[in-house]
Amino acid sequence: MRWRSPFSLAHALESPRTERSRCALLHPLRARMMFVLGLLLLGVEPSCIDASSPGTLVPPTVDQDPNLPGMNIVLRGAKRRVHVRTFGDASKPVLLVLPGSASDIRAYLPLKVLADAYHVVMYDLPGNGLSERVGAEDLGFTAMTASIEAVRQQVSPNRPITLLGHSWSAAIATEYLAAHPEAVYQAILIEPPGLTGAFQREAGLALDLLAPGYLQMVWGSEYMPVDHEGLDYQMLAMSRSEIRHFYCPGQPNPEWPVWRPGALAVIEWERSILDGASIASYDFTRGIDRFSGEILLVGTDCSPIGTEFQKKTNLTVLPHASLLHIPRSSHRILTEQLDVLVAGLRAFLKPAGVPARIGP
Amino acid sequence: MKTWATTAAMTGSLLLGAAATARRADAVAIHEASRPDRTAARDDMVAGTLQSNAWLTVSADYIHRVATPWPRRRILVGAGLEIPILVWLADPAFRTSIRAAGELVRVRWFALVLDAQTRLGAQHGILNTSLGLDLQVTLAPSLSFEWWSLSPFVALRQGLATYVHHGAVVQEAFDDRYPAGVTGVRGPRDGWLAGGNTRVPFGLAFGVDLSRRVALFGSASLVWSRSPVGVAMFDAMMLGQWPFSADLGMGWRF
Repeated sequence: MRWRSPFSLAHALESPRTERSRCALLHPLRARMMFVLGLLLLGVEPSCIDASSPGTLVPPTVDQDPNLPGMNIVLRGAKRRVHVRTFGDASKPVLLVLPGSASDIRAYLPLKVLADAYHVVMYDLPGNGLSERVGAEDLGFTAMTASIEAVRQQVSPNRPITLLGHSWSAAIATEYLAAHPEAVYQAILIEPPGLTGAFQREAGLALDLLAPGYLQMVWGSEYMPVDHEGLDYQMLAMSRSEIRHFYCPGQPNPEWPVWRPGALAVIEWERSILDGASIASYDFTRGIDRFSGEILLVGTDCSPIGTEFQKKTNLTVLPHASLLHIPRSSHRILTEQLDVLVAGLRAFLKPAGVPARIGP
Repeated sequence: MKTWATTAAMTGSLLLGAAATARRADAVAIHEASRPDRTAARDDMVAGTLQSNAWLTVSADYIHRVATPWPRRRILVGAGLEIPILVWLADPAFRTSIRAAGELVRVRWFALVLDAQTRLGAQHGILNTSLGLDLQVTLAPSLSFEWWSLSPFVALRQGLATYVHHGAVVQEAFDDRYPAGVTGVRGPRDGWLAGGNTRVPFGLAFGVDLSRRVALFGSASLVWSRSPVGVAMFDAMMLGQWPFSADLGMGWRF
């Protein structure tokens, strides 16, 4: 393959960029600093862009883009639109999939293989992914739990659902189980953080502040806006930065496809479990003993909140819970060991056992 | 109009040979501007600074005293270059700037120093290749004695414009969003973003003349940032927003 200078005009004309504006010829050029400076010295005016305009920095959300599939729900008295994907026969029992933090449906799409037995419904929690952005006041765990109930009321109002949550969403799912024990038949919690503050203190909130990708963010954040879109944009880098050790030793950081990581949601969720620099006292399991269904905890080898952590902590307080261990994987199981995960889920799931109606 | 003003400012920076004083190497300018002027000598300075930004950033500064009709009023101009060592090991990044600093008021050992600098930063990173321009104005009421100074300071740093050319990570975020057969909004868009971060560093700077020619200086500060979505100082460290800063450097007068 022949090397081409990123500054060459030929490269610019051949580059397959899709967005063209009044400076269309300039856009495909690699904006290496010297080139841009050259443009300035020549008096060429590049185009201005608006960070808050949908699609400038990160993909537009479902309220901004009518071509995305969505659902209206009422959250804390306000109508909100969430991004929803469904797979399989709507007459089958619902498997509701909740993406983790800094993520969206995208990485979870392979779970649609379970649509042979379920009506698989995936949605981005409010303020996350391609769901409508909301303010910090609507990003609390109680609001997230309320959104699960609002979605369930629309997709399975009478029949219990099976609930799957990953990472932070596994903690939110736990809170939902405690609040609506009758509405869930089985639950899968993939590597939740500590479900109580005491548990999480064992794992800490370790950040690798020396990771090269992270240091790039430190340097680059000087100039980027810190509004919703700017923070989401930075969060795209965070998921690649190795600031959190989502990889097994000696392995590269696993891919984690995402459209829009909801930065403010992650910030709010982590802020809510902190008391200054230490982890506060909290408890997602309050009332969980009212849940009579089965729970599958999933853990891995390499994650700081993997199998060993789950065994010592969360497994001890969840009723009717068993543990599935996924070897040779870290927290990003869906891109690292999807087949092993799906096999483990199939062994646990009982679609034929889901009652036809909620209640006794 | 705004774009042309930005262009003019950046071009001006370049033509002036813009290399600049690093983000927290302000201590050298504050110390130099607040020195009691007993000699009226036209002493220039070169300085090297180690900064905490991205853990280890080195900067080189040149500060020149401007001759004025008021011999006892110190007015300085400067230029510098700032390189984040650990970032540079992975991908190129640097920042240049130009500055002007001077005494607004002097009453015996008290001097009120104003320092203004324009910074131009370039980076090739995970998300993009970018070129950012910002302006920082620092006010420092300085206690300045014969061989040392101590200066609380507060600064306003405002992003003016940033050019971004998105990389593959951002472009991939726009892929495969629609169900089969549906098309919609394309993106991302390259170009100039107007405005940007507003930050307010505040802290304490010091300077010590080790000899007539050699000075040691440093500062430590917290950085308050204004976010329209309510992200406070310590909330966004995972996103690279550091709420603190420190630096230590030495300068040689000639």
